[in-house]
Amino acid sequence: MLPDLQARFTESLFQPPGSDFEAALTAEIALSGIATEERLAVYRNNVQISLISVLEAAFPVTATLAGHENFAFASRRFIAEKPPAEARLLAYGADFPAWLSAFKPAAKQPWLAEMARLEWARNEALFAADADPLDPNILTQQDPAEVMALRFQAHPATRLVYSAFALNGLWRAVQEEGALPDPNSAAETVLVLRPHLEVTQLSLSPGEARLAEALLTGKTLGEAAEAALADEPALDLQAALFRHLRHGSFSGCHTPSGS
Amino acid sequence: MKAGVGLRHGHVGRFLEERPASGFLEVHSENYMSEGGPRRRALFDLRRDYAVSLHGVGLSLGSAEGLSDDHLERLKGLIGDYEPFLVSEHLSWSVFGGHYLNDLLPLPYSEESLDLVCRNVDRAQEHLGRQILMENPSSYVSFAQSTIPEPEFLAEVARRSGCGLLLDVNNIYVTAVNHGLDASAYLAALPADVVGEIHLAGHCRRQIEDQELLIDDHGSQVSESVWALYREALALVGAKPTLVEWDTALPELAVLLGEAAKADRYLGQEALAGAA
Repeated sequence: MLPDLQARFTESLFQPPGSDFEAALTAEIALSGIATEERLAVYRNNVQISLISVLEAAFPVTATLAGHENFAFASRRFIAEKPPAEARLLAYGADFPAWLSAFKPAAKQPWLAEMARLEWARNEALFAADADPLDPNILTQQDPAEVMALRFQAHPATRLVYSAFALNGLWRAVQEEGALPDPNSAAETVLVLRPHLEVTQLSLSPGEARLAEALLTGKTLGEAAEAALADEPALDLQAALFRHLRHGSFSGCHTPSGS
Repeated sequence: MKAGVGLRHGHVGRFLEERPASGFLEVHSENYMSEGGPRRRALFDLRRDYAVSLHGVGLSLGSAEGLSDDHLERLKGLIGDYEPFLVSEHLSWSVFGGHYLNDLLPLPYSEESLDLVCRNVDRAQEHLGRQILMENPSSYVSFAQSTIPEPEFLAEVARRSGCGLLLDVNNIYVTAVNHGLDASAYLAALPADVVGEIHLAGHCRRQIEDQELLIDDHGSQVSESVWALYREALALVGAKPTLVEWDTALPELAVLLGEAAKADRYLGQEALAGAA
């Protein structure tokens, strides 16, 4: 029966050669000159190698930092434990950062899983819905009495990634093929953006990060400013807000009066 | 009629900037199933200058568990967005038990499979509101329970469901060599009138002890044997939209366009012969 055959075939793809599933499947395959195990190995390789490539394409910096052989080793395990749930492979890998954070061989490099989180945020940003970013001049068009009551709408591509490590520095060093910073030298929060066609990222100070988080979750500018200044009293609030507007973090804003 | 090429990410920039002549562009449907982003934008831009064909690798028409509603709905959305002149899928399966296996896996050719594939094709064509083409697969195993030769299986699916066929000449060649079949006899057994498109691609050879297994890797130029089979196919089915695919070890665009130009020459000869 077809469902049984497809079940055995599926299992054999994720097992090493010579598994019981493969033996059961082999019994259903017509004999010919080339050994059935060799023939089945083509499918197993196609599935595993193509999915490793998908993960490498989504997590290129993580792969570079881990070493490509190590990354392939981890990917093989991840693929066997969490195969794609759907044919839309641009969505495959969402679970990889969390999985990697619990992967014992990577325990000594905890920044790898955090880099994977950043790269997944970039992947999500790349494929998120398109929207025009908010006009940076919007503040000059507001009633000054209402500015602090403004609420912003996060652009569909905007993502905020917290880290205990120098995530942005590591990411840039890999892009530029420069010397890698000590991962423990900073705790960077990275804002990922795609206002138009290209994904960009900014490193945020603790106060900027607090401001970003509050604004992206719909707090008023007044509430966000209060939270940010509590974290970082010396924060230049205006500069921090303009940085968001210039880089396209938001796609809209409104005041209680509806403007 | 000019041959088309498979549009791959590494060539998109050149197409956007230079708009080289090509009969049409074919993309893998699943790569465009996002909400937004530059990839979708580029294809919207290119479809103003090129006819677009959507070639799916994920609908899994051979799945015993039936088709995914979500996937069908996304494919329908893409068809609405890009208005492709062709929509194609494969005679294979790639989904089981909620997992997507990312390869075109083989079916036993039995009455059970035939009923199942026809049901799935009916459902797809009904949901999408249009005809789809079904591509013959390349394969590395055949099943003891198969009772129907592959070309006859394809012919019967087309007859019952009204789908068209996408004739992948490289796949016929790979499958014929791997299973000791006669590629010309395979071609001759297909219903010529329902062929809506032809695919060409490269394969590689793997030596296993004293025998060879051909692997359909889309990673090289079309082989001479496949060009010869293409000419046979043209003589049988007439000049049909022809596509050159290249997926692994992607070459310079000029190399790919060169392969398409070679297909153009054979297409041109066939068109002349057909008019005579």
